[in-house]
Amino acid sequence: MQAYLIRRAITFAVTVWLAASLAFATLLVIPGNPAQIILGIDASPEAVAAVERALGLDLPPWTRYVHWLADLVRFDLGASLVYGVSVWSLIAERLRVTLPLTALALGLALLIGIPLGLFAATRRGSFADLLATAFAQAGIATPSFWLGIFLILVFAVNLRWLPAGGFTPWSQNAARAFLSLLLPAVALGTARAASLTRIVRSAALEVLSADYVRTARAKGVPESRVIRRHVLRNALISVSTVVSMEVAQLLAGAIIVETVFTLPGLGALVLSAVSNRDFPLIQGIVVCMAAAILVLSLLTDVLYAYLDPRIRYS
Amino acid sequence: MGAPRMEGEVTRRGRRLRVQWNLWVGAAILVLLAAAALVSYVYVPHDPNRISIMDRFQPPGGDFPLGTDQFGRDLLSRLMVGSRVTILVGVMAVAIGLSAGLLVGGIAAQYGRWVDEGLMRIMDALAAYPPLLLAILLASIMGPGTVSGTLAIGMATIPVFARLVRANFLTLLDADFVHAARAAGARNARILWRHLLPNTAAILLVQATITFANAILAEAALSYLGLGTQPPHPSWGRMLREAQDFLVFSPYPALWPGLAIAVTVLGLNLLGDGLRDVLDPKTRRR
Repeated sequence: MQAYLIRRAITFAVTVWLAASLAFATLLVIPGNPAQIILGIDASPEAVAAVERALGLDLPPWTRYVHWLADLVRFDLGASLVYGVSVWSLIAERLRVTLPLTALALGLALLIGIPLGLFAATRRGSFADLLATAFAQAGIATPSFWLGIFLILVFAVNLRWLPAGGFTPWSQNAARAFLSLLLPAVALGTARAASLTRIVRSAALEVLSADYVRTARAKGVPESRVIRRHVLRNALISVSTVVSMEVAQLLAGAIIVETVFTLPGLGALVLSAVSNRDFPLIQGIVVCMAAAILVLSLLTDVLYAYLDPRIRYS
Repeated sequence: MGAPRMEGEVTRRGRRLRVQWNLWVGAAILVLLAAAALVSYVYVPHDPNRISIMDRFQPPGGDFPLGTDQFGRDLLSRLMVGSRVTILVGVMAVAIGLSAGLLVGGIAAQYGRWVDEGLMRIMDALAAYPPLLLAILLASIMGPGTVSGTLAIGMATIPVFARLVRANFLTLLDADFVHAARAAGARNARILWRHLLPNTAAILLVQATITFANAILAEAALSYLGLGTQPPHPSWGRMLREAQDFLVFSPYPALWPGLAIAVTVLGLNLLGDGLRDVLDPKTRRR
């Protein structure tokens, strides 16, 4: 296990480095001068030179790359061109919206997906199973932003139960802040709940046909105990392997859902950065998200090795 | 001894094809989509970009089978023309992912060791970028548009194909029949064409349908964010974005494009499930 952890840590570091380099490479392949692109064609040569210096574009690419990596290792993502403050502080501020939204959506997905998948598997072929499977198929196919639009129409415009968009800061009114994240979390989490239902159902079906389940039943172990001790536990192992992928989907999906509900999260930040051509900010957000996704997949792998003693890593 | 069993196989496969309702429903939905896109080149009920303020927010029926949007444009015509983008992006994304994935996965499996290790780490790094993130990066460089969106979505699908191809090729390269072919003097190219590719085709086909579905969702999301297809060209995601602000006047401009996306993705997923059931007996009846 220890050797596995060390090897896994090394590949993790290499992958993060490669992923970050990919983001850096994008700045290199921009046709034309990024400083000129940022300022527009009418900009004076002095202004272009100033932005070039601010971006470090007057240095050769390799020097820039080494500087950039050295900064990255110290968690310094540089400063935004538009806001003039550090990229890190901008991201940290927006995470106050994006993280709770993602967590809420993930909670919803787990709360619906696991019981529903298990329920469907134990009643395989029944009408209830058909309904659960239909929900899974429909949920996966429904775009989150479309669902969001109609959630706004029903619950905000017609029923007036929840806010249609916008965000009250946590410090002002925590309850209102929570309420303004509720509809977005449903829009974001439904597809993930559907996908988890499918995964849990198929994992549980596999376990249900395993010899040890038949043995347990033959021994006279009550069905509820069989489900809890054998089926759920083993099905959860396969869930743990996909949770990191689900969170990656949620983080990317949050960008869109935040736009639907005009939430001031990372999504809004990255979109304004794209339209302003604020390259350090775009790179910073993209690198952070990719790194977060890689950290999650590392944790999943380690958790998997821990949860399933049958997995042996040499 | 072999002949009767093969006959049995054929009938069983035939029966399976008949009960694979998901395969047929999925295929029917796709044929419908392709037909809508093809017909849109020769006939649409109205000019999809014709603005007519008198006809704005018409409910479905009469002259406008699906109603009109905030500019009085015919929703059915716009949906039909928009389906071209959907198909184009889906096909291109699969083509990029499949061809690059075959190349990378094939090289990794064939050469092994540090080539394999290096290529797979690059794939891991690429996989850390969800399609939307890559698209945002590309849109910031190339400017928003269908091409940069398609490229980004296609690039994001490379790791899945590369891993599939590599894993399959590695198993096959160690299979007895490949060893036998090699002993009989077959060269790498022949082994690739006669043994590796045919035995990987089924699993790649299933993955292609899933990738197609994901590409459609990603394109719609990009267009919704304004990073994909640009106006006045209709695309389903863009139509949704424009409709959102007028939801209280009429839900139809938002209803149809979303429904079109959902039904198409559903069709592709059903087709993928059906194909998997038919092609891979191990996962059947689950």
